[in-house]
Amino acid sequence: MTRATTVPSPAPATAPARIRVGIVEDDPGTRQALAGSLRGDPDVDCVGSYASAEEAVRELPERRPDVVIMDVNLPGRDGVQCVRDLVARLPAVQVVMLTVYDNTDVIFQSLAAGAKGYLLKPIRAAQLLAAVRDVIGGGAPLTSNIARKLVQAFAEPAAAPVARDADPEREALEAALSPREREVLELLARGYLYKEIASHFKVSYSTVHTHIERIYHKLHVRSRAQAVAKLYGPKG
Amino acid sequence: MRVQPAVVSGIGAGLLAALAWTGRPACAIGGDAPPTAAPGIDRIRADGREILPSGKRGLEDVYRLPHRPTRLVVEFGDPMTLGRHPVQLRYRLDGRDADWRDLVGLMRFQVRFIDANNQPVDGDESSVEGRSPGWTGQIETSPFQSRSKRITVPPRAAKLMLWLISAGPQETTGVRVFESIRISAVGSDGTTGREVFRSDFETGSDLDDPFGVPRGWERDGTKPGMGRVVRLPGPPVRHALALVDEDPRGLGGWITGAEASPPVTPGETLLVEWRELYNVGAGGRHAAVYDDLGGGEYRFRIGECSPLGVPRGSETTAVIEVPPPVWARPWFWAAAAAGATALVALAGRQLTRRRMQRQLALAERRQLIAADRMRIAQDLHDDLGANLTRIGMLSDLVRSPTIPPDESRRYLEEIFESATGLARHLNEIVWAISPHNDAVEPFSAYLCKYAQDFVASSGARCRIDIPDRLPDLPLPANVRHTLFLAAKEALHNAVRHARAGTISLRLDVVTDRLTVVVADDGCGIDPAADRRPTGGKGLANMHNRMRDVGGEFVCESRPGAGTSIRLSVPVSPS
Repeated sequence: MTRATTVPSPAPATAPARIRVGIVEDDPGTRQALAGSLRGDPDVDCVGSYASAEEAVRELPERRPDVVIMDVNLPGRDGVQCVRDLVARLPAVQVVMLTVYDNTDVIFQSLAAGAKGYLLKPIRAAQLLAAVRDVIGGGAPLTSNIARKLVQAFAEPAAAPVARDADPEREALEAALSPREREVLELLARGYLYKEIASHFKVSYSTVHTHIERIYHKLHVRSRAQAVAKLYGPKG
Repeated sequence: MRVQPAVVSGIGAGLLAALAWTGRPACAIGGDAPPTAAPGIDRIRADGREILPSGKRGLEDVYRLPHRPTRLVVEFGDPMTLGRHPVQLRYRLDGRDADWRDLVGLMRFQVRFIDANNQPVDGDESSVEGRSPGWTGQIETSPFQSRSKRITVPPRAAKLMLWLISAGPQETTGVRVFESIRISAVGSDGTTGREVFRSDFETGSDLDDPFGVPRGWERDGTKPGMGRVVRLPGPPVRHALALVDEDPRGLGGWITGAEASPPVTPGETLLVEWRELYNVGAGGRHAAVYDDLGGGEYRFRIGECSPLGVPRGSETTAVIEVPPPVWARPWFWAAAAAGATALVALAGRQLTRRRMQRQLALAERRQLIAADRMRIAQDLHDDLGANLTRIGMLSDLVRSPTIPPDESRRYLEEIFESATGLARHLNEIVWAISPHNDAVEPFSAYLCKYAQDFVASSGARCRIDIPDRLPDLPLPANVRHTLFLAAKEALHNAVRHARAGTISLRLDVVTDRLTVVVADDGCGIDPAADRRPTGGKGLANMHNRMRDVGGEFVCESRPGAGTSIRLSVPVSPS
């Protein structure tokens, strides 16, 4: 049983162009299969497939992908790092991790790096395509264990923003969970499904999705700040 | 020509006086010449058995005792040969006695009552032994002590006599000197009344002569020479009555003369007062007793003193060797060392045994781990082998042009399922063997994910209650594995049999115990009547496996009222 675990983002206002998808996967056979799967959908365009993180970071940004399917296990720089690099260059890109091993820690790190979901290999073509669409326009549940990790991550004190051109207040605001977001995360940790959360708060399904997306975004901001803080030290 | 009679008598008197006067000073008692035969040890007895000297060291006899005696008796003394000057003996055992011990003798001062027929009626006695306080070794310089005694005159007594006698044990030697004696009657009111007797020894004949005679006194005994008169230099010059016992084999002293013996009335109370000094010791034979001597070398010394107690300086000594106790002997320490070595060897063997036991336990643990790995290897072998084979064969089949398309589609589907199943299985195995997951937090995350996935597929509601933060405690692989299997079994039971609306998973660490509770609000089970297709041993199995890893398994359920399965294992920082 495979699942697509993704977070939706708001649908684009313009007429849907073909979804531009990039692939980062070191195993040739798997890369071929993935590319082949994408080719099967007329609304999806495979704009590039790369065998390493370095190559992807070098080549992919100019291709302007909307979605990137990223293998966690890459030679050299690993998938999580690659996510970070790509998201830094393409802030709007939606990254979906691909992994054989359902490792909570790695998945969490990917999310913190800026990814929006993860998939388990092997994956059917149909599921892959569905996940690509999901990450653009839909969502799948955030599991309880990931939600717990998020709660833990947000419980830690946020690092001081260090980007010189960033607005410190905005960053701080961005990094803190709103009370509703906190509640949503709490319920997710307790095993509530999206629809259960929606009925609990008497809001729509998509509202829940929005909350979760914002949670991810803040997680990313937070982790980005922490990573930079580690590199450069506190702003002095 | 005729000599004048006065001149002759004068010369004669002078000659007589010269002859009579012995010329001895008042305290020339006991000579200064050493005795002819030295006192010595007669016999030594250890616990009754006589010990003979085993040799000589210089002039000393050496007595080697065979063992530590409970009682050692040293019999010694002076030879008491005739013509020998009298000695007072003292002795000490160096190594036991802190000082010299004087032999003890007695000198008596008796008040005798006699009746009208000169028969003795009754009497009283005052004896002394040892030395009077302040004794200096010389009569002239030692202080006199005042003493007194009350006596009641017995019935039938007519007269009173005083008797100063050295008549104690034969060995007694020494002196007792009386400066004055007075006896008074005591009235019924206690006051002293008339004087019954008084003697200051200032009247008599030749009082400056030791052998003079004070008025009212006579010498008595087999050795009357023991009664002496002592001239005390003044001023003023005084005289005293003395008993001098230089000869262990005799008795002698002073007695009141018949005409001096005062009459007494029966029932009368008399107060006898006198002033005296003395040094009384003993010579002769004696036995010194020593109990519980410890191991070592002792020296028994016999010293001689004059009757006045002045040491003569010469000694007789003998060496007595007492063997050391067992623990002080050389062979003992050798034996003890051997014993200690044996003990150490024994302890070493215990340690070795303990170490071997530890190693055995370690080997057993390794065996367990190996068994685990065997199991995993077996699993991989079976599952992986079977699935890969299937994938391979099906893939090959699909290529065949003779297979109809829908059949090959089915095969492809199967291939995909097999691959996916394998991947999942591999996932589980990797998780199970990865040591990183041998901890409370990773285990909780995994169980939480598993539970949610599994329950979601059943359509029941899943509720998870795990603290945001769990302590960072280790969870050994076998414990983790067993706990997971038990929780998985509980979840499967809840999904398959309980027909529950909500299945909950609770996990927490409270005071060294990790507890997992799988509960549902389903139809409940009767733990006793576990009649399920799996063979009904599911619960019992869970219980036993939990117990094997030191954990607990509790199942609470009532038909129609849900089930709660509680699993717990101890966790500790080590």
